[in-house]
Amino acid sequence: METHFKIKVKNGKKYFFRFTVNQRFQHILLAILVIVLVLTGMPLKFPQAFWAHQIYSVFGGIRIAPFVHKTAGTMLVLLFVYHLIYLVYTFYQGQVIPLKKKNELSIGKILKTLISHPIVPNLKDIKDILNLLKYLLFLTNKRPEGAVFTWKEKFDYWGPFWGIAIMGSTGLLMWNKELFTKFLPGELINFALIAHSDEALLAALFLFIWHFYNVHFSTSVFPMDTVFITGYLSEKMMVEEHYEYYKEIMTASGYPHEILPPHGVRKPESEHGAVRDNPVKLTDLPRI
Amino acid sequence: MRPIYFKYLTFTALFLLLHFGTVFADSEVLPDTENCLYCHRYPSMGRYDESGVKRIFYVNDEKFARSVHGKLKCKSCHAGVDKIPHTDVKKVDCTTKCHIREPSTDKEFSHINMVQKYETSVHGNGSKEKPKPFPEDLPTCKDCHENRIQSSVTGLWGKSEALSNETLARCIGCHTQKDWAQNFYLHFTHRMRRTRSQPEIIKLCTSCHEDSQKMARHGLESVSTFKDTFHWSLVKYGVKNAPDCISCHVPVGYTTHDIRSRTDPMSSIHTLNRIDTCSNQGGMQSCHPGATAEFATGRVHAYGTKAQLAAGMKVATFEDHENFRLLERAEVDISKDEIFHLKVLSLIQLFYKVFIPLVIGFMAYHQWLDWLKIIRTRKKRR
Repeated sequence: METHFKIKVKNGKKYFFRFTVNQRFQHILLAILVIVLVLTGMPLKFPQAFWAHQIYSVFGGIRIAPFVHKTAGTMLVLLFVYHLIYLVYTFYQGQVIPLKKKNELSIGKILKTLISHPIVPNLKDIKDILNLLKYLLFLTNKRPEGAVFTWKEKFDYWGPFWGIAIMGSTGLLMWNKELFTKFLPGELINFALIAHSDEALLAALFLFIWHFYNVHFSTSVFPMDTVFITGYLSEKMMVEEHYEYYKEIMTASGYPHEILPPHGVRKPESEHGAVRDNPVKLTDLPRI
Repeated sequence: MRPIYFKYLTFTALFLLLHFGTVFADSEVLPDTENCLYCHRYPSMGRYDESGVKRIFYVNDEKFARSVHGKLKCKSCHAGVDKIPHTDVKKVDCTTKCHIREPSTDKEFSHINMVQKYETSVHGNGSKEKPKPFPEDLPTCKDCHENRIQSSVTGLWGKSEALSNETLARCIGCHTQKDWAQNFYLHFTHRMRRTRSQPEIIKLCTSCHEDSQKMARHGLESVSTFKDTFHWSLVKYGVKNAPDCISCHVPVGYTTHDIRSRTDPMSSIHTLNRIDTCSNQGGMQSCHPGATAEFATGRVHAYGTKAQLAAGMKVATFEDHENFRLLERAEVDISKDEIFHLKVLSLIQLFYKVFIPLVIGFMAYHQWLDWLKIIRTRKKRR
């Protein structure tokens, strides 16, 4: 297994480990494939739209774009299969083997670890959603303290997970309709078309409204959060999104005195015109 | 040179050759023995009729000579017209014998065979014992056969493999009168070519079949349901051989004049014939070569009003004549299986109809609040 420092310090700033190279690679491949699939799929859903023909022609028009769509779809299904294997493997390595070593291996125990895995939605997520809404509506000043994976990230993970399962199965069915109708009823093609097309709309809207806002357009990260490339998250974002996990990690890594206050709460020193430690000099300002 | 370019070049050359052939054919125009052109040669000739429709009575003799009926006299079709002004004129009837002897039978030619067949089809008037209601809605010959004099027949060369300059060259070997050979060749190869493109066919059929009021009078629904299919997308993207109305309703081996109801075993979309229609039309055209019986039971058009009425998802009242008529027909046409499928289909649709706004709405709401929060906190800090 790869080993990572939970916190990396560079130029006096702390960076927090989030994703392995393997995970980052999976994500980038997913991103590219989904964008290609949306661009080559939507013009077929809306052939009357003014943009449909223009976007389609970028991918080679009706003669080539469907081929691009099917190739990207196949790759995405393969990626999904790879991810499933990866999931089982990491779960086995990370959770089952330690249990074995402790001689506590039982089905109940495995189920318990599975349910309490940080990526699985739990009660805290519901509480966090409600509390975040309260915070956003100015009903409270306290932002919910996120764990390793916040409810937003769980949406980001389980949304595409469910989406690829639906899109992949219905897509394969429609692609090989003659083959599948040898043993399946013909109406399934009609059901598949509706599900594929509506699920696609949901996925595309999800991508642009939810994911792109959270990781690109939100003012905290604009123009983009680099964590998907570097694998490390800045301290500012860590405090804002994963405060609970942040405190835990800081204490465990030996920085309990450097824990910053939660998002939105300022340091007492800098409040209301207090004297700064290092007053800014004219020479410090950038030349224009 | 690659063979494909060679093919294009040949066709272009052939097209130009034919084009020049028709332009320089001086013996084509028949002498105007009836003296109709005395008046009808003036391009400004026309009037607005009682219903306000502009009628043009101008005849371009050169263009007419090149049309399908170019060898006929005016009175062969336009009966009456002995008085001036033509108060005695009768409507053109395509079953009239038109004084041309058909060489294979040596009988006077008429379109009556076709018309008789047509009258028993879905578009016909029905039998004398059981005439169809609202006969004014039913299409007559001229509704589809616009006899487009303006369109050039030669422009269609190269669209079918049945047509080749080699074949024509063989004809000309014996029939040395080139104009005659060419005309006759065009005449008998007429049915081997598509004279209308896919969008044109769809436009022609939907000019009636998308009129939901007119359709409801006959217990039918609008065919806009076709526009929910992949077939339509292919037409929209101009795919060669994209499936339009006649691709399935009049496949190879069937005729447009004899379209039948889908419950008629002679119909190309009857359950018994559907596998052939999808997979192998008369051994000529195969769109879905591996189509199975199950494949063919899948729905091509989306479910429309009729199925919704039969499934009770839409309610027809006595006052609502349109839907009431549809419901009467739906009880016969829509099977229990189809009702079940429609219900499953609508359940899937309903799921997404609720799920998409719910999820996306919640997310948009969250993002909006997040944005407001940021803006307000910024203002406070200033």
